[in-house]
Amino acid sequence: MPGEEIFYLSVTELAKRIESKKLSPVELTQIYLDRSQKFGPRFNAYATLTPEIALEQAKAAEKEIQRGHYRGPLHGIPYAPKDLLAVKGIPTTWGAKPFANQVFEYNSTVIDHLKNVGAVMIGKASMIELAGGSGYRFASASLQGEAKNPWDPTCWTCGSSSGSGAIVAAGLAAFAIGTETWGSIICPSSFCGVSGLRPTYGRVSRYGAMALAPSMDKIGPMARSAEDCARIFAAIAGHDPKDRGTIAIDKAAFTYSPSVELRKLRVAWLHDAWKSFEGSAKPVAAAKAALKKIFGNMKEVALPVGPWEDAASLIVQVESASSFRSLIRSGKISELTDPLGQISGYLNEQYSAADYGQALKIREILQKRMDAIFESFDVLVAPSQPVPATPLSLNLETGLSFPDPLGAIGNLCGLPALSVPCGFTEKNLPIGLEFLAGAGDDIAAIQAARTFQQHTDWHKRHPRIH
Amino acid sequence: MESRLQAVFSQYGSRLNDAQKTDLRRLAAEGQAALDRLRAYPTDNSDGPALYLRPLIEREKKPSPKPSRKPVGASKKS
Repeated sequence: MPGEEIFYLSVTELAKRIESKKLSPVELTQIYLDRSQKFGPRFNAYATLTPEIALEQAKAAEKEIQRGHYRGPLHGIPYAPKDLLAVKGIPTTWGAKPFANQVFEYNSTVIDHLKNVGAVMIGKASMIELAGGSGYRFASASLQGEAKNPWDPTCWTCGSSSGSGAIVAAGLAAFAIGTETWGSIICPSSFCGVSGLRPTYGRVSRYGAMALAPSMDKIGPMARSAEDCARIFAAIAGHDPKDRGTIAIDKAAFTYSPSVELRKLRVAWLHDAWKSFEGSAKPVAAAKAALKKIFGNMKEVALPVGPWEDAASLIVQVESASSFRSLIRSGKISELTDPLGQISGYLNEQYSAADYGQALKIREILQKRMDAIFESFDVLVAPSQPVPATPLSLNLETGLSFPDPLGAIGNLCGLPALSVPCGFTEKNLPIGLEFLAGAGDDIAAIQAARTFQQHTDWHKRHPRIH
Repeated sequence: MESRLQAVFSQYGSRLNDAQKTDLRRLAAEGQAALDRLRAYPTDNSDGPALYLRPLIEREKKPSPKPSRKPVGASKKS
Protein backbone atom coordinates (compact mmCIF):
# COMPACT_ATOMS: atom_id res chain seq x y z
CA MET A 1 0.00 0.00 0.00
CA PRO A 2 1.48 3.39 -0.95
CA GLY A 3 1.91 6.17 1.61
CA GLU A 4 -1.35 7.47 2.97
CA GLU A 5 -0.69 11.05 1.90
CA ILE A 6 -1.38 10.39 -1.77
CA PHE A 7 -5.01 9.59 -0.94
CA TYR A 8 -5.43 13.06 0.50
CA LEU A 9 -3.82 15.06 -2.25
CA SER A 10 -6.08 17.69 -3.75
CA VAL A 11 -7.43 17.39 -7.28
CA THR A 12 -5.25 20.36 -8.11
CA GLU A 13 -2.08 18.54 -6.97
CA LEU A 14 -3.06 15.21 -8.52
CA ALA A 15 -3.78 16.98 -11.80
CA LYS A 16 -0.31 18.53 -11.87
CA ARG A 17 1.28 15.11 -11.45
CA ILE A 18 -0.97 13.49 -14.01
CA GLU A 19 -0.45 16.22 -16.59
CA SER A 20 3.32 16.02 -16.17
CA LYS A 21 3.05 12.21 -16.48
CA LYS A 22 4.59 11.70 -13.05
CA LEU A 23 1.44 9.92 -11.90
CA SER A 24 -0.39 7.26 -13.84
CA PRO A 25 -4.23 7.50 -13.82
CA VAL A 26 -4.37 3.69 -13.93
CA GLU A 27 -2.12 3.33 -10.89
CA LEU A 28 -4.00 6.08 -9.05
CA THR A 29 -7.32 4.45 -9.81
CA GLN A 30 -6.07 1.03 -8.75
CA ILE A 31 -4.80 2.24 -5.38
CA TYR A 32 -8.03 4.15 -4.73
CA LEU A 33 -9.98 1.02 -5.69
CA ASP A 34 -7.89 -1.13 -3.35
CA ARG A 35 -8.40 1.36 -0.53
CA SER A 36 -12.12 1.63 -1.25
CA GLN A 37 -12.50 -2.16 -1.23
CA LYS A 38 -10.61 -2.36 2.05
CA PHE A 39 -12.12 0.56 3.95
CA GLY A 40 -15.38 1.38 2.13
CA PRO A 41 -17.40 -1.29 3.97
CA ARG A 42 -16.08 -0.07 7.32
CA PHE A 43 -17.84 3.25 6.79
CA ASN A 44 -20.75 1.98 4.63
CA ALA A 45 -19.44 4.54 2.19
CA TYR A 46 -20.42 2.99 -1.12
CA ALA A 47 -23.63 1.75 -2.67
CA THR A 48 -21.55 -0.03 -5.26
CA LEU A 49 -17.99 -0.09 -6.51
CA THR A 50 -17.45 -0.02 -10.28
CA PRO A 51 -13.90 -1.32 -10.80
CA GLU A 52 -14.47 -2.33 -14.43
CA ILE A 53 -15.77 1.11 -15.43
CA ALA A 54 -13.04 2.77 -13.37
CA LEU A 55 -10.16 0.86 -14.93
CA GLU A 56 -11.58 1.24 -18.44
CA GLN A 57 -11.90 5.01 -17.97
CA ALA A 58 -8.47 5.24 -16.32
CA LYS A 59 -6.81 3.33 -19.15
CA ALA A 60 -8.48 5.55 -21.73
CA ALA A 61 -7.33 8.64 -19.81
CA GLU A 62 -3.79 7.35 -19.58
CA LYS A 63 -3.65 6.56 -23.28
CA GLU A 64 -4.91 10.03 -24.20
CA ILE A 65 -2.50 11.80 -21.88
CA GLN A 66 0.41 9.75 -23.18
CA ARG A 67 -0.57 10.89 -26.67
CA GLY A 68 -0.53 14.50 -25.52
CA HIS A 69 -4.28 15.00 -25.32
CA TYR A 70 -4.78 16.33 -21.78
CA ARG A 71 -8.39 17.29 -21.15
CA GLY A 72 -7.90 19.33 -18.00
CA PRO A 73 -7.71 19.10 -14.22
CA LEU A 74 -10.16 16.22 -13.79
CA HIS A 75 -8.58 14.01 -16.45
CA GLY A 76 -7.72 10.67 -14.84
CA ILE A 77 -9.03 11.70 -11.40
CA PRO A 78 -11.11 9.07 -9.51
CA TYR A 79 -14.43 10.20 -8.02
CA ALA A 80 -17.70 8.83 -6.65
CA PRO A 81 -21.17 10.24 -7.44
CA LYS A 82 -24.06 9.93 -4.99
CA ASP A 83 -26.23 6.95 -5.81
CA LEU A 84 -29.14 9.05 -6.99
CA LEU A 85 -27.41 9.96 -10.26
CA ALA A 86 -28.31 7.62 -13.09
CA VAL A 87 -25.40 5.74 -14.59
CA LYS A 88 -26.26 3.66 -17.62
CA GLY A 89 -26.43 -0.05 -16.95
CA ILE A 90 -25.57 -0.15 -13.26
CA PRO A 91 -27.91 -0.01 -10.25
CA THR A 92 -29.07 3.39 -9.05
CA THR A 93 -30.75 2.62 -5.76
CA TRP A 94 -31.57 6.08 -4.41
CA GLY A 95 -30.46 4.50 -1.12
CA ALA A 96 -33.85 2.85 -0.83
CA LYS A 97 -34.96 -0.78 -0.78
CA PRO A 98 -37.89 -0.31 -3.20
CA PHE A 99 -35.33 0.82 -5.81
CA ALA A 100 -32.60 -1.69 -4.98
CA ASN A 101 -32.71 -3.17 -8.48
CA GLN A 102 -33.37 0.01 -10.43
CA VAL A 103 -31.20 0.36 -13.53
CA PHE A 104 -31.40 3.26 -15.99
CA GLU A 105 -30.48 3.07 -19.63
CA TYR A 106 -28.95 6.53 -19.74
CA ASN A 107 -26.47 8.69 -17.88
CA SER A 108 -27.40 11.73 -15.89
CA THR A 109 -26.00 14.95 -17.33
CA VAL A 110 -23.49 15.35 -14.48
CA ILE A 111 -22.09 11.87 -15.14
CA ASP A 112 -21.75 12.70 -18.85
CA HIS A 113 -20.03 16.00 -18.08
CA LEU A 114 -17.52 14.26 -15.82
CA LYS A 115 -16.97 11.55 -18.40
CA ASN A 116 -16.30 14.20 -21.03
CA VAL A 117 -13.55 15.80 -18.96
CA GLY A 118 -11.95 12.41 -18.36
CA ALA A 119 -12.83 11.86 -14.69
CA VAL A 120 -12.83 8.23 -13.53
CA MET A 121 -15.92 6.87 -11.78
CA ILE A 122 -14.74 4.51 -9.06
CA GLY A 123 -18.13 3.68 -7.53
CA LYS A 124 -21.39 5.18 -6.34
CA ALA A 125 -21.66 6.76 -2.92
CA SER A 126 -24.18 5.53 -0.38
CA MET A 127 -26.91 7.91 0.74
CA ILE A 128 -29.92 8.34 2.98
CA GLU A 129 -32.96 6.66 1.42
CA LEU A 130 -34.67 8.96 -1.09
CA ALA A 131 -32.24 11.65 0.13
CA GLY A 132 -34.50 12.02 3.14
CA GLY A 133 -37.46 12.85 0.93
CA SER A 134 -39.85 10.96 3.15
CA GLY A 135 -38.21 12.08 6.37
CA TYR A 136 -35.98 9.99 8.61
CA ARG A 137 -35.39 9.52 12.28
CA PHE A 138 -32.11 7.58 12.37
CA ALA A 139 -28.73 7.56 10.60
CA SER A 140 -29.51 3.97 9.62
CA ALA A 141 -32.14 5.20 7.11
CA SER A 142 -30.28 3.80 4.14
CA LEU A 143 -30.21 0.68 2.03
CA GLN A 144 -26.47 0.68 2.61
CA GLY A 145 -26.70 1.08 6.40
CA GLU A 146 -25.58 3.93 8.61
CA ALA A 147 -22.67 5.91 7.14
CA LYS A 148 -19.89 6.05 9.72
CA ASN A 149 -17.72 9.10 10.12
CA PRO A 150 -14.04 8.46 9.32
CA TRP A 151 -13.06 10.86 12.12
CA ASP A 152 -14.96 8.73 14.64
CA PRO A 153 -16.85 5.67 13.40
CA THR A 154 -19.24 5.87 16.36
CA CYS A 155 -20.49 9.12 14.84
CA TRP A 156 -22.56 9.84 11.75
CA THR A 157 -21.46 11.59 8.57
CA CYS A 158 -24.74 13.54 8.37
CA GLY A 159 -27.01 13.16 5.36
CA SER A 160 -28.21 12.79 2.85
CA SER A 161 -24.91 12.81 0.93
CA SER A 162 -23.59 10.57 3.67
CA GLY A 163 -21.41 8.26 1.59
CA SER A 164 -20.00 11.20 -0.37
CA GLY A 165 -18.79 12.73 2.91
CA ALA A 166 -17.29 9.46 4.16
CA ILE A 167 -15.52 8.78 0.84
CA VAL A 168 -13.78 12.14 0.70
CA ALA A 169 -12.91 12.19 4.41
CA ALA A 170 -11.50 8.65 4.35
CA GLY A 171 -9.46 9.30 1.19
CA LEU A 172 -11.31 6.65 -0.83
CA ALA A 173 -11.59 8.91 -3.90
CA ALA A 174 -10.29 12.34 -4.82
CA PHE A 175 -13.75 13.87 -4.81
CA ALA A 176 -17.43 13.02 -4.66
CA ILE A 177 -20.66 14.44 -5.96
CA GLY A 178 -23.42 15.22 -3.49
CA THR A 179 -26.86 16.77 -3.71
CA GLU A 180 -28.72 19.17 -1.48
CA THR A 181 -32.36 20.02 -1.11
CA TRP A 182 -31.85 21.31 2.42
CA GLY A 183 -28.53 20.67 4.15
CA SER A 184 -27.38 17.53 2.36
CA ILE A 185 -24.06 18.90 1.06
CA ILE A 186 -23.32 21.47 3.75
CA CYS A 187 -23.97 19.20 6.77
CA PRO A 188 -21.94 16.15 5.62
CA SER A 189 -19.12 18.47 4.55
CA SER A 190 -19.13 20.00 8.02
CA PHE A 191 -19.41 16.70 9.94
CA CYS A 192 -16.73 15.02 7.80
CA GLY A 193 -14.25 17.91 7.63
CA VAL A 194 -14.31 18.27 3.84
CA SER A 195 -15.05 21.14 1.48
CA GLY A 196 -18.48 21.07 -0.17
CA LEU A 197 -20.11 23.45 -2.62
CA ARG A 198 -23.86 23.86 -2.93
CA PRO A 199 -24.12 25.80 -6.19
CA THR A 200 -26.74 28.36 -7.10
CA TYR A 201 -29.99 26.61 -7.94
CA GLY A 202 -30.14 25.92 -11.64
CA ARG A 203 -26.44 26.02 -12.46
CA VAL A 204 -26.03 22.23 -12.48
CA SER A 205 -28.44 20.05 -14.42
CA ARG A 206 -30.49 17.50 -12.45
CA TYR A 207 -31.33 15.47 -15.53
CA GLY A 208 -30.99 11.84 -14.51
CA ALA A 209 -30.93 12.68 -10.81
CA MET A 210 -33.68 11.54 -8.45
CA ALA A 211 -36.17 14.34 -7.93
CA LEU A 212 -37.05 15.14 -4.33
CA ALA A 213 -38.28 18.73 -4.26
CA PRO A 214 -37.65 19.93 -7.81
CA SER A 215 -37.77 23.62 -6.92
CA MET A 216 -35.00 23.12 -4.35
CA ASP A 217 -32.83 20.20 -5.54
CA LYS A 218 -29.19 21.02 -6.34
CA ILE A 219 -26.06 19.03 -7.21
CA GLY A 220 -22.55 19.95 -6.14
CA PRO A 221 -19.01 18.74 -5.45
CA MET A 222 -17.48 17.56 -2.19
CA ALA A 223 -13.70 17.63 -2.17
CA ARG A 224 -10.52 18.61 -0.32
CA SER A 225 -10.56 22.35 -0.87
CA ALA A 226 -12.58 25.26 -2.17
CA GLU A 227 -10.31 25.35 -5.19
CA ASP A 228 -11.03 21.70 -5.96
CA CYS A 229 -14.75 22.43 -5.65
CA ALA A 230 -14.35 25.27 -8.15
CA ARG A 231 -12.61 23.02 -10.68
CA ILE A 232 -15.26 20.31 -10.35
CA PHE A 233 -18.08 22.85 -10.46
CA ALA A 234 -16.61 24.24 -13.69
CA ALA A 235 -16.91 20.77 -15.21
CA ILE A 236 -20.51 20.08 -14.18
CA ALA A 237 -22.14 23.53 -14.43
CA GLY A 238 -24.10 24.65 -17.45
CA HIS A 239 -27.51 25.06 -19.01
CA ASP A 240 -29.23 21.82 -20.00
CA PRO A 241 -32.40 21.75 -22.09
CA LYS A 242 -33.19 18.42 -20.44
CA ASP A 243 -33.59 20.12 -17.05
CA ARG A 244 -36.03 23.01 -17.25
CA GLY A 245 -34.76 24.20 -13.89
CA THR A 246 -31.35 25.13 -15.28
CA ILE A 247 -30.75 28.81 -15.84
CA ALA A 248 -29.72 30.41 -19.12
CA ILE A 249 -26.48 29.48 -20.85
CA ASP A 250 -24.65 32.70 -20.01
CA LYS A 251 -25.63 32.49 -16.33
CA ALA A 252 -25.26 28.77 -15.75
CA ALA A 253 -21.77 28.19 -17.13
CA PHE A 254 -18.85 28.55 -14.75
CA THR A 255 -15.19 28.91 -15.57
CA TYR A 256 -12.43 28.88 -13.04
CA SER A 257 -8.83 29.90 -13.11
CA PRO A 258 -6.79 30.30 -9.91
CA SER A 259 -5.05 33.26 -11.51
CA VAL A 260 -8.32 35.12 -12.10
CA GLU A 261 -8.17 38.66 -10.77
CA LEU A 262 -9.69 38.62 -7.30
CA ARG A 263 -12.18 41.26 -6.31
CA LYS A 264 -12.28 42.84 -2.89
CA LEU A 265 -15.00 41.02 -1.06
CA ARG A 266 -17.35 42.60 1.45
CA VAL A 267 -17.65 39.84 4.05
CA ALA A 268 -20.05 39.85 6.99
CA TRP A 269 -20.49 37.51 9.94
CA LEU A 270 -23.99 36.18 10.55
CA HIS A 271 -24.39 36.45 14.29
CA ASP A 272 -27.78 34.80 14.58
CA ALA A 273 -27.49 31.77 12.30
CA TRP A 274 -27.53 29.47 15.32
CA LYS A 275 -28.74 29.86 18.87
CA SER A 276 -25.83 28.06 20.57
CA PHE A 277 -22.82 25.92 19.85
CA GLU A 278 -22.56 22.57 21.51
CA GLY A 279 -18.92 21.62 21.92
CA SER A 280 -17.80 23.84 19.08
CA ALA A 281 -17.81 27.33 20.60
CA LYS A 282 -13.99 27.53 20.85
CA PRO A 283 -13.15 26.58 17.25
CA VAL A 284 -15.98 28.82 16.03
CA ALA A 285 -14.59 31.78 17.99
CA ALA A 286 -11.09 31.08 16.63
CA ALA A 287 -12.42 30.85 13.07
CA LYS A 288 -14.24 34.15 13.47
CA ALA A 289 -11.04 35.80 14.75
CA ALA A 290 -9.13 34.40 11.77
CA LEU A 291 -11.77 35.75 9.38
CA LYS A 292 -11.48 39.21 10.93
CA LYS A 293 -7.74 39.17 10.29
CA ILE A 294 -8.11 37.89 6.75
CA PHE A 295 -10.98 40.10 5.59
CA GLY A 296 -10.28 43.20 7.65
CA ASN A 297 -13.35 45.22 8.46
CA MET A 298 -15.81 42.31 8.83
CA LYS A 299 -19.22 43.57 9.92
CA GLU A 300 -21.92 41.58 11.68
CA VAL A 301 -25.37 41.15 10.20
CA ALA A 302 -28.59 39.36 11.12
CA LEU A 303 -30.73 37.12 8.99
CA PRO A 304 -34.20 38.43 8.15
CA VAL A 305 -36.88 37.17 10.49
CA GLY A 306 -39.86 35.23 9.18
CA PRO A 307 -41.35 31.77 8.81
CA TRP A 308 -38.69 30.68 6.35
CA GLU A 309 -38.21 27.22 7.83
CA ASP A 310 -41.95 26.63 7.82
CA ALA A 311 -42.15 27.66 4.16
CA ALA A 312 -39.14 25.54 3.21
CA SER A 313 -40.52 22.53 5.08
CA LEU A 314 -43.90 22.80 3.43
CA ILE A 315 -42.41 23.13 -0.04
CA VAL A 316 -40.18 20.10 0.50
CA GLN A 317 -43.05 18.05 1.94
CA VAL A 318 -45.50 18.91 -0.84
CA GLU A 319 -43.01 18.49 -3.67
CA SER A 320 -41.66 15.23 -2.23
CA ALA A 321 -45.20 13.88 -1.98
CA SER A 322 -45.50 14.60 -5.69
CA SER A 323 -42.06 13.16 -6.52
CA PHE A 324 -42.78 9.92 -4.64
CA ARG A 325 -46.49 9.73 -5.38
CA SER A 326 -46.50 6.23 -6.78
CA LEU A 327 -44.33 4.97 -3.93
CA ILE A 328 -46.78 6.41 -1.40
CA ARG A 329 -49.94 5.29 -3.17
CA SER A 330 -48.68 1.80 -3.91
CA GLY A 331 -47.78 1.28 -0.25
CA LYS A 332 -44.18 0.48 -1.18
CA ILE A 333 -43.15 3.36 1.03
CA SER A 334 -43.52 0.90 3.90
CA GLU A 335 -40.44 -0.90 2.52
CA LEU A 336 -38.25 2.03 3.52
CA THR A 337 -35.91 1.36 6.43
CA ASP A 338 -36.78 4.27 8.64
CA PRO A 339 -39.95 4.33 10.77
CA LEU A 340 -40.53 7.99 9.98
CA GLY A 341 -39.83 7.50 6.28
CA GLN A 342 -42.45 4.74 6.17
CA ILE A 343 -45.30 7.05 7.11
CA SER A 344 -44.48 10.72 6.51
CA GLY A 345 -45.41 10.60 2.86
CA TYR A 346 -49.03 9.92 3.74
CA LEU A 347 -49.26 13.19 5.63
CA ASN A 348 -47.21 15.10 3.06
CA GLU A 349 -49.93 14.38 0.49
CA GLN A 350 -52.53 16.22 2.54
CA TYR A 351 -51.29 19.81 2.51
CA SER A 352 -53.49 22.24 0.65
CA ALA A 353 -52.61 24.07 -2.53
CA ALA A 354 -53.43 27.34 -0.76
CA ASP A 355 -50.80 26.67 1.88
CA TYR A 356 -48.27 25.72 -0.77
CA GLY A 357 -49.09 28.96 -2.61
CA GLN A 358 -48.57 30.92 0.59
CA ALA A 359 -45.16 29.26 1.03
CA LEU A 360 -44.22 30.27 -2.51
CA LYS A 361 -45.24 33.87 -1.86
CA ILE A 362 -43.12 33.89 1.28
CA ARG A 363 -40.22 32.50 -0.74
CA GLU A 364 -40.55 35.43 -3.17
CA ILE A 365 -40.57 37.93 -0.31
CA LEU A 366 -37.51 36.29 1.23
CA GLN A 367 -35.62 36.33 -2.07
CA LYS A 368 -36.04 40.09 -2.25
CA ARG A 369 -34.94 40.52 1.37
CA MET A 370 -31.80 38.48 0.79
CA ASP A 371 -31.11 40.30 -2.43
CA ALA A 372 -31.16 43.55 -0.44
CA ILE A 373 -28.59 42.15 2.03
CA PHE A 374 -26.35 41.15 -0.87
CA GLU A 375 -26.44 44.75 -2.08
CA SER A 376 -24.25 45.56 0.94
CA PHE A 377 -22.23 42.36 1.24
CA ASP A 378 -20.78 39.79 -1.12
CA VAL A 379 -20.42 36.93 1.32
CA LEU A 380 -22.06 36.05 4.63
CA VAL A 381 -20.23 33.67 6.95
CA ALA A 382 -21.46 31.47 9.78
CA PRO A 383 -20.67 28.06 11.24
CA SER A 384 -22.04 25.40 8.88
CA GLN A 385 -23.68 23.58 11.79
CA PRO A 386 -24.04 24.35 15.50
CA VAL A 387 -22.83 20.87 16.46
CA PRO A 388 -20.08 18.47 15.44
CA ALA A 389 -20.84 14.96 14.17
CA THR A 390 -23.54 13.28 16.23
CA PRO A 391 -23.66 9.70 17.57
CA LEU A 392 -24.90 7.05 15.13
CA SER A 393 -27.75 6.03 17.40
CA LEU A 394 -29.12 9.56 17.93
CA ASN A 395 -32.84 10.11 17.34
CA LEU A 396 -32.50 12.87 14.74
CA GLU A 397 -36.07 14.07 15.21
CA THR A 398 -35.28 15.14 18.75
CA GLY A 399 -31.49 15.32 18.84
CA LEU A 400 -30.81 17.24 15.61
CA SER A 401 -33.92 19.39 15.54
CA PHE A 402 -32.50 22.84 16.25
CA PRO A 403 -33.76 25.84 14.24
CA ASP A 404 -31.96 26.18 10.90
CA PRO A 405 -32.88 29.54 9.38
CA LEU A 406 -29.58 29.66 7.47
CA GLY A 407 -30.26 26.37 5.70
CA ALA A 408 -33.88 27.28 5.06
CA ILE A 409 -33.00 30.69 3.61
CA GLY A 410 -30.09 29.48 1.52
CA ASN A 411 -32.09 26.68 -0.01
CA LEU A 412 -35.38 28.55 -0.42
CA CYS A 413 -33.54 31.26 -2.34
CA GLY A 414 -31.24 28.90 -4.23
CA LEU A 415 -28.14 30.66 -2.89
CA PRO A 416 -24.65 29.21 -3.32
CA ALA A 417 -22.77 28.15 -0.20
CA LEU A 418 -19.44 26.53 0.46
CA SER A 419 -18.61 24.71 3.68
CA VAL A 420 -14.96 24.28 4.63
CA PRO A 421 -13.33 22.89 7.77
CA CYS A 422 -12.40 25.56 10.32
CA GLY A 423 -11.27 23.69 13.41
CA PHE A 424 -11.84 20.70 15.66
CA THR A 425 -13.59 19.99 18.91
CA GLU A 426 -11.80 18.59 21.95
CA LYS A 427 -12.91 15.15 20.75
CA ASN A 428 -11.16 15.77 17.43
CA LEU A 429 -14.35 16.15 15.40
CA PRO A 430 -14.28 18.68 12.56
CA ILE A 431 -16.26 21.93 12.53
CA GLY A 432 -17.31 23.65 9.32
CA LEU A 433 -17.62 27.25 8.23
CA GLU A 434 -20.22 28.22 5.63
CA PHE A 435 -19.63 30.98 3.07
CA LEU A 436 -22.96 32.09 1.60
CA ALA A 437 -23.21 34.34 -1.47
CA GLY A 438 -25.88 35.93 -3.63
CA ALA A 439 -27.64 33.96 -6.35
CA GLY A 440 -25.30 33.42 -9.27
CA ASP A 441 -22.30 34.74 -7.34
CA ASP A 442 -20.83 31.29 -6.63
CA ILE A 443 -17.39 32.71 -7.35
CA ALA A 444 -17.68 35.02 -4.32
CA ALA A 445 -18.31 32.07 -1.97
CA ILE A 446 -15.47 30.15 -3.63
CA GLN A 447 -13.07 33.07 -3.47
CA ALA A 448 -13.82 33.77 0.20
CA ALA A 449 -13.48 30.11 1.19
CA ARG A 450 -10.31 29.73 -0.86
CA THR A 451 -8.82 32.82 0.77
CA PHE A 452 -9.67 31.37 4.20
CA GLN A 453 -7.93 28.13 3.22
CA GLN A 454 -4.85 30.01 2.02
CA HIS A 455 -4.50 31.29 5.60
CA THR A 456 -5.40 28.09 7.45
CA ASP A 457 -4.61 24.40 7.14
CA TRP A 458 -7.72 22.74 8.59
CA HIS A 459 -8.59 21.35 5.17
CA LYS A 460 -5.27 19.55 4.98
CA ARG A 461 -5.95 17.47 8.08
CA HIS A 462 -7.39 14.02 7.69
CA PRO A 463 -8.31 11.10 9.90
CA ARG A 464 -5.90 8.24 10.33
CA ILE A 465 -7.38 5.16 8.71
CA HIS A 466 -5.70 1.81 9.45
CA MET B 1 -55.15 19.01 11.32
CA GLU B 2 -57.92 16.55 12.09
CA SER B 3 -59.19 16.60 8.53
CA ARG B 4 -55.72 15.83 7.18
CA LEU B 5 -55.38 12.94 9.58
CA GLN B 6 -58.81 11.59 8.73
CA ALA B 7 -57.97 11.79 5.04
CA VAL B 8 -54.84 9.73 5.67
CA PHE B 9 -56.65 7.19 7.82
CA SER B 10 -59.55 6.79 5.41
CA GLN B 11 -57.23 6.33 2.44
CA TYR B 12 -54.38 4.38 4.01
CA GLY B 13 -55.64 3.30 7.43
CA SER B 14 -55.57 -0.39 6.60
CA ARG B 15 -51.82 -0.19 6.03
CA LEU B 16 -51.07 1.48 9.34
CA ASN B 17 -50.68 -0.06 12.77
CA ASP B 18 -51.65 1.70 15.97
CA ALA B 19 -48.13 2.93 16.68
CA GLN B 20 -47.89 4.43 13.21
CA LYS B 21 -51.26 6.13 13.61
CA THR B 22 -50.11 7.63 16.91
CA ASP B 23 -46.91 8.79 15.24
CA LEU B 24 -48.89 10.39 12.41
CA ARG B 25 -51.10 12.17 14.92
CA ARG B 26 -48.01 13.60 16.63
CA LEU B 27 -46.50 14.64 13.28
CA ALA B 28 -49.74 16.31 12.25
CA ALA B 29 -49.88 18.25 15.52
CA GLU B 30 -46.28 19.40 15.13
CA GLY B 31 -46.93 20.34 11.53
CA GLN B 32 -49.97 22.36 12.50
CA ALA B 33 -47.88 24.85 14.47
CA ALA B 34 -45.70 25.43 11.41
CA LEU B 35 -48.79 25.84 9.22
CA ASP B 36 -50.28 28.35 11.63
CA ARG B 37 -47.12 30.47 11.49
CA LEU B 38 -47.07 30.24 7.72
CA ARG B 39 -50.71 31.27 7.39
CA ALA B 40 -50.27 34.16 9.82
CA TYR B 41 -47.50 35.73 7.76
CA PRO B 42 -48.94 38.76 5.95
CA THR B 43 -48.90 38.47 2.18
CA ASP B 44 -50.70 40.65 -0.33
CA ASN B 45 -52.58 39.90 -3.48
CA SER B 46 -49.70 41.57 -5.31
CA ASP B 47 -47.05 39.26 -3.85
CA GLY B 48 -46.08 36.95 -6.64
CA PRO B 49 -45.51 33.32 -5.81
CA ALA B 50 -42.13 31.89 -6.79
CA LEU B 51 -43.94 29.25 -8.82
CA TYR B 52 -40.73 27.71 -10.05
CA LEU B 53 -37.66 28.96 -8.30
CA ARG B 54 -35.68 31.33 -10.40
CA PRO B 55 -32.84 32.95 -8.51
CA LEU B 56 -33.03 36.71 -8.78
CA ILE B 57 -30.22 36.86 -11.31
CA GLU B 58 -32.74 35.49 -13.79
CA ARG B 59 -35.46 38.07 -13.30
CA GLU B 60 -34.47 40.37 -16.11
CA LYS B 61 -34.25 37.61 -18.66
CA LYS B 62 -36.91 35.26 -19.79
CA PRO B 63 -35.27 32.46 -21.73
CA SER B 64 -37.63 30.53 -23.90
CA PRO B 65 -38.19 27.31 -22.01
CA LYS B 66 -37.61 24.20 -24.02
CA PRO B 67 -39.96 21.34 -23.33
CA SER B 68 -38.53 18.80 -20.95
CA ARG B 69 -37.92 15.44 -22.48
CA LYS B 70 -39.16 12.44 -20.67
CA PRO B 71 -36.08 10.37 -19.89
CA VAL B 72 -35.77 6.84 -21.17
CA GLY B 73 -36.67 4.56 -18.31
CA ALA B 74 -38.59 7.29 -16.54
CA SER B 75 -41.34 4.84 -15.81
CA LYS B 76 -39.03 3.34 -13.23
CA LYS B 77 -39.05 6.61 -11.33
CA SER B 78 -41.67 7.30 -8.75
